[in-house]
Amino acid sequence: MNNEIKILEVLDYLPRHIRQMVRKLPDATLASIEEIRLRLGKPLCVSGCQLEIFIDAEGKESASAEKAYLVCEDDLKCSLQLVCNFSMYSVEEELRNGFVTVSGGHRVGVCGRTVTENGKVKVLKDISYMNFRVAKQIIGASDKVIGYLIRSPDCIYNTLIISPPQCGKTTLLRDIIRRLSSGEGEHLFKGMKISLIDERSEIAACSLGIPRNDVGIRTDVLDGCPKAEGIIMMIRSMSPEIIATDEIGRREDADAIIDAVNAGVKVVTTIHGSNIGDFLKKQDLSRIQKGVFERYIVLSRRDGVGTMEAILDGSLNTLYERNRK
Amino acid sequence: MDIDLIFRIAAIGIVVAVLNRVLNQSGREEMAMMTTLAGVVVVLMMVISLISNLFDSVRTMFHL
Amino acid sequence: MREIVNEGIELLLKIIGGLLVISASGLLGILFSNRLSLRYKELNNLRRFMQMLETEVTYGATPLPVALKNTSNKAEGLISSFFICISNSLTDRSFYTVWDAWTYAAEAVLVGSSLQRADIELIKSFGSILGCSDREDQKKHFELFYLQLKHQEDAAQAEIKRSAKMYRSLGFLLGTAVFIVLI
Repeated sequence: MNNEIKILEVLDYLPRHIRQMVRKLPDATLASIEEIRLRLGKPLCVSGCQLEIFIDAEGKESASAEKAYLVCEDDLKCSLQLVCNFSMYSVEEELRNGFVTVSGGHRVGVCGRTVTENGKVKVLKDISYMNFRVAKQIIGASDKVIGYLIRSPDCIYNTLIISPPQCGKTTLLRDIIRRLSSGEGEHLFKGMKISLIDERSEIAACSLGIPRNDVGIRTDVLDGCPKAEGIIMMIRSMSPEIIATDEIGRREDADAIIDAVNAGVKVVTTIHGSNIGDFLKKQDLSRIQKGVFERYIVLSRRDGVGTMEAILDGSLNTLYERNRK
Repeated sequence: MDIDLIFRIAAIGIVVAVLNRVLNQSGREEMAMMTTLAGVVVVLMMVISLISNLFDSVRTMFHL
Repeated sequence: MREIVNEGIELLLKIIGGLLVISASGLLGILFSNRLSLRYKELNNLRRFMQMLETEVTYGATPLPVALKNTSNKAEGLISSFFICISNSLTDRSFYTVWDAWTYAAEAVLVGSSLQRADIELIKSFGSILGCSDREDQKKHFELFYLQLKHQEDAAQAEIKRSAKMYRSLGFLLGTAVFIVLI
């Protein structure tokens, strides 16, 4: 997927004048933008890998925050309307979680005043902060890891990717799925049937049922379904050889994974954390902390997005560590 | 003296009467009254020249 | 002989002229009468198609541009054009809020029709809340709108009872009156 086009997809959800301002930035800058932030009354800000600039009203990089274009209430209102496609009711569930996934797989984080009911967030109103995260597919992100995950030409290891936010975990997962599904000539891997449960429409970025990202030729995508139910549904209906999903964390997710493993299905998934310890500390996932995963991949941002910190096997022996090479 | 005129006045009279009834029935009584008035005015206008002639003849007859 | 023929032609012309005047006036009366019954039909249609829209919104959580397009395909006539106009102007990004698009479409599509000003203002007011809240709230607003529409429908029905026949008779009678005065 052309990354230039990806940023244009996100710009579609900004008010016209802001869109024009960002378009005027040099192409090199545009291609490396990862986030566009709208903060009420504060300067318009874009950031990316080793890049953070304020934009002024002419669309040029502003030397200081004072001269930059200040975001007004109308901008946020307009943006919100565009993001939820003029229909707040169609994204109410996502708004409650604090972000909306728009066409193309981009995540728009939304922040404002919450109205709670029974301790849970019922409605998010007076939106004053929006964060547009540009989703990028990087073909080849899994080049270095794929060898560790393949057990035999028709079998892989159950894999868990542990990563803090913004370290390329979703990009890595996406490429791993693509590789495992389409097959890998280098390791003589023939490709396996994968069922992808894409709860937040980020991995495959389905729009009107069609994945906008390349997730492989043998992949079935269940879009927008909660993970626990999705895993069970797919096991029963699509007879997968691998189940893939993103960001597990709840007890039900762990239970569903146990079901999958017991059914003889391999699992590739991710979790938030900065090292293996974070995973082992999570109480809700106690059922899968031993004897389920055979490969752990730990990511960080130390050498840029997608830095491989370490790869461990099922008994937590280190197979690869960044400093050792 | 035109027989024609008499028939015309009669026809207008009938039309006004029917209009009156229709308008009264649908509740627009003010309109009904206005049409009656209009009918009277129209008939008067049609006859005004004859009346003028009548007065002239009476005047000449009595002043002679 | 010639005089009789001339007189005959004159009489014929008078009769044809008279018939034209009476039928023209009568048709005008029928037109007015039909406007009333058309208004009632349009209000009824609007209520039906809004229910279809509500289903799309509250059960399918379909985004408005798509929901309006789908309902427009299922609907027909005036309301269909109204919905598709809104859907298109939202998709084209000609307007940035539903209310603007809705109001514009109301002025562009509904104003020349048999709907009265009061009906159009009522329809316009609905555009201010569409798509701005969650499903439950939207459902409530839809219910309220149906009540208001029904009220207008009943008024239209009463108006028909009162005036439809009247307009028809009025047309023909006035035509006849003009005919008589002018002959």
